[in-house]
Amino acid sequence: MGNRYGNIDIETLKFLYERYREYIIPSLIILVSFLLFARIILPSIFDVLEARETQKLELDKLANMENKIGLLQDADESILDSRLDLVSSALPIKKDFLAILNAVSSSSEKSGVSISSFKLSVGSLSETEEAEIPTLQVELFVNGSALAVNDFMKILNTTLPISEISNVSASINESLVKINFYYKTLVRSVPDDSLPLFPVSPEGEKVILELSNNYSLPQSSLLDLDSSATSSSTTINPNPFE
Amino acid sequence: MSKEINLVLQEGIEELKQKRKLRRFRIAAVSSLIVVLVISLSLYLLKLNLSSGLEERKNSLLSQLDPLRNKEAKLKIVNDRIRNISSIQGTRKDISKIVDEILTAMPEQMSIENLEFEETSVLLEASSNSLVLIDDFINNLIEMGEQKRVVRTMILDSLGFDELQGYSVSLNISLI
Repeated sequence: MGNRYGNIDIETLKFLYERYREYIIPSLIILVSFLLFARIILPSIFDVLEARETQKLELDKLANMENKIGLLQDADESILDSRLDLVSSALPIKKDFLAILNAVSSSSEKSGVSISSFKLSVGSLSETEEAEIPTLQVELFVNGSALAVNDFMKILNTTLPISEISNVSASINESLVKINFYYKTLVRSVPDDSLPLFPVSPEGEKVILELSNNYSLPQSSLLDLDSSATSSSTTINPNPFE
Repeated sequence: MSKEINLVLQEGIEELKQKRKLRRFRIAAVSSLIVVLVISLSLYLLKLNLSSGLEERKNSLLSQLDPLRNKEAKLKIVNDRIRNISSIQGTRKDISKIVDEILTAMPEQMSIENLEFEETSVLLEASSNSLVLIDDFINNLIEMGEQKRVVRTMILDSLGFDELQGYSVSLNISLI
């Protein structure tokens, strides 16, 4: 029985082969075409779409770079340097004790008060700072009337580096003034050309104008005592990428 | 007379149909292969075209940017400092101005004995030989509160008299 069925199957297959023999090669070609489409063309289409996205990003990046080059070529380096000095004096890149002492000394001199003692809280010595703009707290014992202390606070308020008086306890002849001096460390970063570079905004220009017109940068005798120390403490490496 | 006389043999028609079918099938097979090849080639050329020239342009721009990196860093720092300075200026409280306002409310013959300034309040002790001046001072502060200037609330902590110092007043002023 099995042989008979087997013979029938073979004969059927032979018959089918004879009948559709000419269809075999075209069918194989269609199959190969389909496989090529599925395995090569479809992934290639996705690749091309991805490449187009990448090209778009790259073109944006190149446009940014071109704008950046134009902006930087037009920027006057001496103006940029003076602005850098000004804003770094206003908001130092580190805990600048010398600048703080200069500001206090200059303000006390101008307001006619004397500083009997001061306490400087160094704060965290670790690199990471929790606050967005950290401060260094200074406690001053100021000798002078309440009015004179108020003058001292007024002058200090317009003296660089920028500070904020957090607490005052004034009596007839002596006052305790707590001052927070702001500073902000530079964050090292790798230049990212995919991000645009902006010039100083009109609001930024206003800030610079206000700093240069309304604030004073003390050049106290403290600076002259040790010019080498001053130069080392105020030298800024402008390139945080290095 | 019948109009449907078939002069061709039935077997011949079937064979012709089969041949046509086979021919169409062969054309479809070859066409599919050609289409696949054309698409592959197009995709390859498209991909090649997409990436060509970009790298060269990028390298050229990078070489132009290299000598400007120092300027770029300076500008970034300036912008960053300005942003932070603006933020400080936006939140910074100018105590001296507040004290000034309070002092302008104080008559000249009065003197401050003690002034304690905290974040939102001021504790003030002042003295005078005249009770009228103290009254003026308190009225001036009340007026400031009514005008919503500096003073939010004011509490009279104490009012005393001493033979040496005269009248003294202690005020607790809550700030706006």
